[in-house]
Amino acid sequence: MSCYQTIQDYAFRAFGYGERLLPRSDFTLCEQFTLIGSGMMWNIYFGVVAVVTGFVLANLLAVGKNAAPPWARKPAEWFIFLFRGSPLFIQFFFAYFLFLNLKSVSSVFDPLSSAWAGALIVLFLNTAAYSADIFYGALRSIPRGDIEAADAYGLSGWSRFREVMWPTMMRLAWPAYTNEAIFLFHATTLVFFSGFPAWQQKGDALYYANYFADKTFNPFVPYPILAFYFILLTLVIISLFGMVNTWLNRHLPPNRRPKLKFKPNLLR
Amino acid sequence: MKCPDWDEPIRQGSDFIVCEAAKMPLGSSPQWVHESYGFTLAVLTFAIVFGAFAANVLFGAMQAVPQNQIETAEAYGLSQRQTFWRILVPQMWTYALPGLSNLWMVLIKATPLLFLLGVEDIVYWARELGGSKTAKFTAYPHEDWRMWYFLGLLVFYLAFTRVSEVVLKRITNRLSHGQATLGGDAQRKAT
Repeated sequence: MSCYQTIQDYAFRAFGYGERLLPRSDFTLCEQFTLIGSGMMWNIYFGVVAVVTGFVLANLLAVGKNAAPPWARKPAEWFIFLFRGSPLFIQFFFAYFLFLNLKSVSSVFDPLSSAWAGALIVLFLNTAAYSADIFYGALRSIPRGDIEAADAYGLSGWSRFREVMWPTMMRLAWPAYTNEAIFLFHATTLVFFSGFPAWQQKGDALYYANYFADKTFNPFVPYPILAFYFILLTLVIISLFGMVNTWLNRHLPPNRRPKLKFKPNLLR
Repeated sequence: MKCPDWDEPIRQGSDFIVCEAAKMPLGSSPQWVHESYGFTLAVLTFAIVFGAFAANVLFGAMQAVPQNQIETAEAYGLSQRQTFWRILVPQMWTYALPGLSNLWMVLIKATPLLFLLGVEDIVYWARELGGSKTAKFTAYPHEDWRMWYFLGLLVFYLAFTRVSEVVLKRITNRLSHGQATLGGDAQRKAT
């Protein structure tokens, strides 16, 4: 079977299109690259949707944590503590069994026990909590002069936040937020390893890599392929976030713009 | 040479074959040897990874100790070794602590991943004992309780992080006592 044929059969296998049966013997490099790449689309789906939605909630939480009244501050603080204080792995497990129990309550909750919705919710809440703390830290370190200048111009309330504080907050938080985003993409590999089942072998990149490692008893081919895809993905994220970083700091002369530095995180 | 008369290839198709005498741990050894072997491997892996990160933190902390302190020690005629043990090491901890406590928090949250390697940790037992039991196989039949077991685990980890936070805060307070840092200054002003 030619490699072209393999790509046609398995390129969208992770979403259930193409050949139903996975290869069973005589694994070629082409098959491994195609299937793991196909699973990669799940990782990208989880990562992109969670980053975009998490960004919005993170902003709300950061502002909430910074607010004076306890009814706004306490819930935000607790939310952040809850999701930052426990392992993501346990959160996945707990959420999966919680959704399973909810399923018996009403059929509205049916999609939640499958990975595409259930795991996404966990990832969304988790990244929101982590990013919220980054944004909160940035919000606290806005230079006092900026706010005094805004006051002097007569800005207050929403317009002061929107025009002065929020852009500065983004500028300060962006390098750390880039790391968070990269790390979220790495964390998406945990989805199918923690409770959430892969229906009809529609799994993510690690799922297929693990499948090949199990079948061939040789982890030294599929896992480096997986690593290769993730390095590629990380480079794409860094360049995308780098462009946003340049755009955020467009008012500064090029040699004074803060550079993005990739600091790999350990584990969540 | 443990198996001198071994002549077959190690990999036969999808099988990975090791001779009896070369197995690690030996197939005949008791259960506890197998378990402690797995445990030791897990601890060793974490020690290597986190040791590297901790080394980086400590290196940064040593760089952060004010140069004047070292120079003063030399002016007093302390040898290199004395400067290192009596001046540098006692002072570096205030600078190392934020990084180390961060590392500790990450480590706490990394340990349940051991479950993936088959170490029978708390996650393993939560899954095992929480799963539904039928009267046929056990004296205590029950429904699927895994949700509650994992809720317990969640609370356990939250409590663990919270206690760590409190303890680390105390240590920070103690260490910054009398230091020429913002924290130390705040303590001096308070008294």
